[in-house]
Amino acid sequence: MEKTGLLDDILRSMDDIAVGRKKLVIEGEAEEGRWFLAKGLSLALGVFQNAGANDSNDIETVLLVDHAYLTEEKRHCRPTETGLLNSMNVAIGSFDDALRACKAVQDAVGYKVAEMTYSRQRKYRFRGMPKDAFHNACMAHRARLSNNLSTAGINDVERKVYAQRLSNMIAVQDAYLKRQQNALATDN
Amino acid sequence: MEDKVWTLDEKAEIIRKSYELRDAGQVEEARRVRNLVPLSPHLAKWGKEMVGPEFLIEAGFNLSEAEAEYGKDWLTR
Repeated sequence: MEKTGLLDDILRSMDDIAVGRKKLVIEGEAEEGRWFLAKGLSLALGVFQNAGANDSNDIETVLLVDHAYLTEEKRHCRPTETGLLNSMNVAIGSFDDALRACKAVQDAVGYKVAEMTYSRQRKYRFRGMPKDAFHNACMAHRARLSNNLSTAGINDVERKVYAQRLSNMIAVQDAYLKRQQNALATDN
Repeated sequence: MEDKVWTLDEKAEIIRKSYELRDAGQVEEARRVRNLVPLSPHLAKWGKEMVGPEFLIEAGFNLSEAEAEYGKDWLTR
């Protein structure tokens, strides 16, 4: 599926989930609300599955799809859930940083210079490559999604969505690693 | 002519129809029908800021609620 097909479907899915949430709290319409929630979530799952089914070269699209989903999840946090809100803000900010890193790694000359600012100690490296903003964002989000997967009370589709998002993060991190390796190859 | 103001039930009816089309394998028609319903302003704003105004236009979204919230020229600002 093309990038724009994925991105516009993720927006539609979130809008449909929002309709479900509204109907859920209207007397007599809870069942219909649940229908819209389920349909919206299934559409979102399809988007995440399609995003992951690509050859992962379109790292930016995978990030954008999850960025959209995180931004919407944040909107539904209660103001009193300060810990969760902080976590969401950090996640969204880190994705913004990851998208910037995606641009930086496309400039082989610039990235070679940037690489020299990273210590060669293992803790600052990811499989030998700089553990930059992209890797930091992925690893933090993978931990977040893993925690969500072990949360009690989530339904089967929610579980599949978290699992697919986690799988996508692992795949794009590997794809980004290849971009780093290409950028830093001595014949570039 | 003023843009239509959609009720929740009107939106729900169209969205339901779009899923029937999607479930029948008519994905593009499902998107076309779904696009009749205005995209929520905050989602349109995300689309503009993260992907770009052209994305919203090419996807065929109904942006009437976003225009009402952010102003008629919000996409080009």
